[in-house]
Amino acid sequence: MPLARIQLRDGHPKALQSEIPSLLLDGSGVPVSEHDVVLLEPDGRAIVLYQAEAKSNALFLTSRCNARCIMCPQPSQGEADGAPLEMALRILDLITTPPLALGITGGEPTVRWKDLCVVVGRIREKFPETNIEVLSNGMRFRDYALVRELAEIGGDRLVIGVPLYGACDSVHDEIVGVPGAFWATLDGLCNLERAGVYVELRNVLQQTTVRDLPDWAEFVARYIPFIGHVALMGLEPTGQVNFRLEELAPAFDARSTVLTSAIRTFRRAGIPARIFNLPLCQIPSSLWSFAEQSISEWKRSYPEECVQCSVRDKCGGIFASWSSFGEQVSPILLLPENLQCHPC
Amino acid sequence: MPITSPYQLLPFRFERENGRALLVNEAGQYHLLAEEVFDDYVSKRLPRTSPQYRELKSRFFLVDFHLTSAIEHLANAYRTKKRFLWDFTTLHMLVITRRCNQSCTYCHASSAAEDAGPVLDMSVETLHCCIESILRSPSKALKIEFQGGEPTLRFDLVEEAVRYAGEANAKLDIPKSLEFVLCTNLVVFTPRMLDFVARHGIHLSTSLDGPEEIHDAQRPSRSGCSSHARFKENLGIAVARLGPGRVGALLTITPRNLHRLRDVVDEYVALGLHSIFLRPLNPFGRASEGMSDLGYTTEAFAEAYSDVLDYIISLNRQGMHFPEVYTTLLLSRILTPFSTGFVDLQSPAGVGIGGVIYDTTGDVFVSDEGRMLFYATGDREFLMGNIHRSSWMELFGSQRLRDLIAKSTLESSPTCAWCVFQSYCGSDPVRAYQLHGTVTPFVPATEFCKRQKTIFRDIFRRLEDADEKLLDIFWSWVTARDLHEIAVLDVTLA
Repeated sequence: MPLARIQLRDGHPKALQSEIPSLLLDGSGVPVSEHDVVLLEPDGRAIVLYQAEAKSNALFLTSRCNARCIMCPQPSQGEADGAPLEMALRILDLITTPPLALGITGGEPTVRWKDLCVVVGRIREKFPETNIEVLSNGMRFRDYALVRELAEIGGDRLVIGVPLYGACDSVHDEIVGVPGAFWATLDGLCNLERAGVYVELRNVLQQTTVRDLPDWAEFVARYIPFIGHVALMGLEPTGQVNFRLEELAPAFDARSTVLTSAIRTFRRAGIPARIFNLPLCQIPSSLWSFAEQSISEWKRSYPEECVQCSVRDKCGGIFASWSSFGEQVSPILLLPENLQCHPC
Repeated sequence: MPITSPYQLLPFRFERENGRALLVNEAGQYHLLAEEVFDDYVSKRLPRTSPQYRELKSRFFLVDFHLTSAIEHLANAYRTKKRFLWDFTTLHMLVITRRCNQSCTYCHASSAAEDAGPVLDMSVETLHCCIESILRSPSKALKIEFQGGEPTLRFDLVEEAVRYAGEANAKLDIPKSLEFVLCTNLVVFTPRMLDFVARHGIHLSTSLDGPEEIHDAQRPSRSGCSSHARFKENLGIAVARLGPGRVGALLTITPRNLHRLRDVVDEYVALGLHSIFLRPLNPFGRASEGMSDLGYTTEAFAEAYSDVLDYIISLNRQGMHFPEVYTTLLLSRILTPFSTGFVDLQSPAGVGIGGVIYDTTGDVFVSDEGRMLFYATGDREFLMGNIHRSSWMELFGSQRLRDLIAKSTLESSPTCAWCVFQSYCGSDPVRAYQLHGTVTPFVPATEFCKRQKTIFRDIFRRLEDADEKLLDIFWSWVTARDLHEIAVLDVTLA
């Protein structure tokens, strides 16, 4: 498998791999740094699979999924999976310094259960201090035996990121495209709690979820208050989303109102909550201390206008893919008096 | 005509008032509906696409296709609310002595004179027996409360109790977590006592009925001199050394202070206390003898409570963190999914299974009120046994106790099963027996119920009209945090 780790030799990044003693990468594409891991395609492209300097990296386990979320950024096309497990294990072999965290994603990782267990086990073994963040819709965790199995392998490093899109099945199931998904996910969440696994509860801010957000926040605080923290994520215009952008993209005002309401609910209940993937100019300043600079460098951008913004260095920018849609940012010209930004 | 799908109602209780309905579900979550919507909801006419349908569904008031799942998660929530039952009896009160150096007009404990002699004190042997029994409680965390009379009259017994409990606890396979509370009038509080209390992490629970003239009129020393000055001095010393978090005070409301509760609150603040516990008069002990002198109507109480709560809230709005403890308890039940054990107001009642009291003689009663009844009338109705003669099972596993508990469960009480406030309320069978001759009276006719309902309605009115700051204040009480840790502040642009 043509994976290579980037190693610096004499100031020029080279791929270190036994068959090919050196590789010259030209200036196009994503810049690479030392200790990155790349996949070398026969046509000469190098695809970066792991960035040593990035805040987070993810291992792709499968493109298959047991759901059909309408805003899926990586919709399954039913294609054969290739060999993602081997790829993941090979990447792990090539990583030199233990990362702070490693994500496991897909598709839905739990549909390849044995592979998931192997990868989690390998990370635990090789990097015992690394957080293992599995992104999952939580439905398969309805089976408590599976939860116990994964919990034992992952130990206290395991974090499961589970999205819940609504406070009732009417909202959630319609978004996920699977009848019964809401209750299955809820069961999964309860089982994760029983097994002592840390859960990040996620929601993606699109029109339907925005409409339901205040009820959703109350539901979480009332019926699943045991979750570790809440992640409220801005919409990313990729994959499925692009076909239905007008339907999905929420109005900024409506979103701001419900964000304030939801954050209030969580603050009062003592549940930590963070806002991801939104620039500071799109949310009320009272919520800036909850915003994370979360968009990966390689897919983030700061439009031209941002150069005038007084809080640019505290802001995470926008998804680069939004640039084609215009009117995303409005630079903050005046600095608020008691500005509190999350220390990123 | 919108499509209506068949849905099922999940169990709930409700009340209609002023064109709107207050609903409470099985997990204790409430919801308000305009009356027309309520009628549609119960008649199953609510369209599936309506926001009200979604709201009711997300609050477990209705379900369509997944009844079993809904019930399982509702059951989870219900179990969470009743978690206090798992720990069984966690509050154990020891009557160190029946003697007292004060002579409070409403004395709950019918306490005896200071010089009545040690026969009214607990013997060391009895003390040891009680502690051994207490440590047999299945709970992992126990609270041992020293009561009386006035426990400081035999502080040596308090010291012995703490010492012996620590020693016996250490010998257990799984030692318990022990918390001690000293209930004292703080009239006599020597440096030695303070030192002991400080070193052993003991909490103080005391009484302050108001500014000097009120406090002294209701709580005179037996010697006749003012107790307020001594109290104030000792309280100051205690708070300075222990911190306000370890000193709590409660108030007994009588006609004398009923209309001056704002002054009482000011006195609490002035003396460095950080909370108040508004407790209405208990019709036991000396109180019931002089009922005509000491009584006030439920309406008068409710009005005064509401007024002082307004005042307390205004202090909080100005930045002071000052909860009212009883309101905080009720708010915790209304606003959070979590369990709150409060032996005087829970279902099933806390008698015996939540808290228990051990008299100087070794007699064990289901509650302090049960002990008072015995002193006043000789009625042994609430006597569980005696520590010297009864085994642990005979005390805590008796048929008699089980019957009492079964009768004190609101969920199965004919009068309370339908009450909208059931999830937040509780049962007091000893009071019922004392006032009405039975542990299962017709509750809605009791002053207790009328008062509870008035308080609940007051709280719900406040919640309905609350601005964000008031909600933050309530949550600061419920979660014991300062306002600035909760509030999502508006940031002004320069």
